[in-house]
Amino acid sequence: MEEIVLEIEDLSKTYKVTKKQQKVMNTTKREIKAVENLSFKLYKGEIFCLLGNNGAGKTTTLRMISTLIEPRSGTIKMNGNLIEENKNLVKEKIGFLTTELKLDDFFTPNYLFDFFGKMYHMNKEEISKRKEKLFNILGIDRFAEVKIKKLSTGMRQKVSIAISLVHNPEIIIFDEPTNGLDIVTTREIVVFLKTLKEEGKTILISTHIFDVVDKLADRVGIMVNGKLVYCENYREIVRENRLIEDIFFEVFEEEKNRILR
Amino acid sequence: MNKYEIFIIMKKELAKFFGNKRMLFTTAIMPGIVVFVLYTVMGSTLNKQSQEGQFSDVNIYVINLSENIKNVFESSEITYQEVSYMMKEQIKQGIEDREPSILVVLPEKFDEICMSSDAKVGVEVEIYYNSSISESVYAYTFMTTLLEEYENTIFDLFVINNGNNVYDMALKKDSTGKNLSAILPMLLMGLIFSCCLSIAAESIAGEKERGTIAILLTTPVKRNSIALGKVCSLTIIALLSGISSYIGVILSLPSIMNIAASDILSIYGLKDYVLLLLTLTSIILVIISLMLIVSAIANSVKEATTSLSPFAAGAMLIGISCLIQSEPAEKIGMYFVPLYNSVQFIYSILVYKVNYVNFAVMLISNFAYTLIFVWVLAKLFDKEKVMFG
Repeated sequence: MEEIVLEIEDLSKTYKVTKKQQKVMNTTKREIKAVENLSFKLYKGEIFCLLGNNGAGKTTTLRMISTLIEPRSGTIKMNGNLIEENKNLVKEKIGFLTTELKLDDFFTPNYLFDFFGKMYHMNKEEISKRKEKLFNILGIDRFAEVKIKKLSTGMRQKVSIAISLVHNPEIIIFDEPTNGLDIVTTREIVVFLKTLKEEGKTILISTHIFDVVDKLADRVGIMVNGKLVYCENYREIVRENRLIEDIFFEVFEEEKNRILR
Repeated sequence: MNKYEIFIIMKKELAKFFGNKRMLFTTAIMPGIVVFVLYTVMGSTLNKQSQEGQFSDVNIYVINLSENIKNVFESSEITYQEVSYMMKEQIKQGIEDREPSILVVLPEKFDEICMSSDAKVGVEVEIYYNSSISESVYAYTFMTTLLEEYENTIFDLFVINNGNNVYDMALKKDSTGKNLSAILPMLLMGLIFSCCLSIAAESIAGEKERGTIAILLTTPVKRNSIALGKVCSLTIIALLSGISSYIGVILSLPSIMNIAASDILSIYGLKDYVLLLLTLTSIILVIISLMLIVSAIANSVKEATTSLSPFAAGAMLIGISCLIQSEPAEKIGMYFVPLYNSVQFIYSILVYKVNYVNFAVMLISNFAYTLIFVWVLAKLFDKEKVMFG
């Protein structure tokens, strides 16, 4: 039987709507549901791709799992334990990367890696070993002493990825890790994520790029308007000879029509 | 709270500052240079203006010049021109036509009239000038003062302080301290506030904009450590900036107030400088921690800067309080009031009226306010609406 590392059950999150927002959105609702009754499981060593359009609730979901924000209702369990009961343990086990991350221009990858290593209470030797490995795999080693402002967008993203993995986490949560990258860097990151999977890491990524899903996913979840409207094993999709792109637009249209009705 | 975490956060903030030569120059060195240049130019311009007023090339025409007035003019080294009554209208026309001149018309037999008993009813002296020409106004003011002084020598019964004795019994250090206390607290408050504004606004709002705060908050580091680490490191940076500004002010004082920089440095002892440094540190701690709260609440650096700018006027206003007070506040309660307490204590140091009880109250209350603000800041890191909008 497959080991469940993360179990999300009936998760909901609402945001208050200001009067100004009500006018812009043409609504009288005082709250909007960013995530609604979301449930899914993450099995050890798999890559779960959360697919959805902008505003579908992917980032909110990942932030709730990473303990950055709290759900309004529902539970998140890591290895059978509720995450709110031991947030620090969760933080040790999760490596989180946000899509908006822009590292400080003044620092070098070397400095930032050391800094975040210390934030995880790692000693010098541990940081050094981890740095050597990650910088080598991601091709950062040649740029280790170059300031972030002088690095290309792709190299900056690789540095961000390395930093989020400094503490060798069991679960990796990346919010749109290939967003805005060229095809070469995207491929390098996809290959790197596969390497992490081979190491036994459990990976949850959000994306809206179908190609990334095709190359990485063990399972796919599609979110529309805060709901998980589709969740399937990728092999099953391939077996049925279907394209993830077609499935996405099918369920997206269905959900849109359901709301209009 | 974890000392190691605080140290690492501080080290990063300081590395960001010291590792960036441009930022180091603009924050720690430039304030001193700007203050020095600005106040020196301002002081020199004012001095030049007042000197120009005294010695400008104005034609001074005099009708019916008497012997006594001639002596007064000569002792004052005034260049004048004696003219006949026939010229009066022509000179008046010249003054009206904006020639840099004044015309003094004395009555005939002026000296005799002044000495006679008739003088009690008033001796009419006419001075024609043009108020739209600065030189003419300066000459008019100078001439009026000169004639009034002459009048005093004739009629005054009392001769006050006319000898060679030193009548002002104030010691040089006392008068220098009094002069400094009028200007320094206000300047320091304004400068410290602008230094703090430039570094604190970016600190958290900038991290929110870049998304680095999210990564920092997913690490096991305690929120208190992040808050205190930032407050302490930014305080060090602002203190450097404050010291730089202080040096700039001191070096420019010879130009603004005719006080030699060496006088200021020598009239205060090491103890005074230590007290001043501790007071400045405590003010900066309060201002930085308060500004970091605003920076945390703001959604962008621009919003943080805009929100903090009105506080600058408040800080200057508190600094001005020394100008309207003849003595530093004595009531102990005043030393609990944030910012005002520190301004009052700087005032006490400058006028040598240090009260150590007030100092302790000011220092402890400022540290207490800082801790409260740090606690609020740490709580804000947990507020998802504040951190993630």
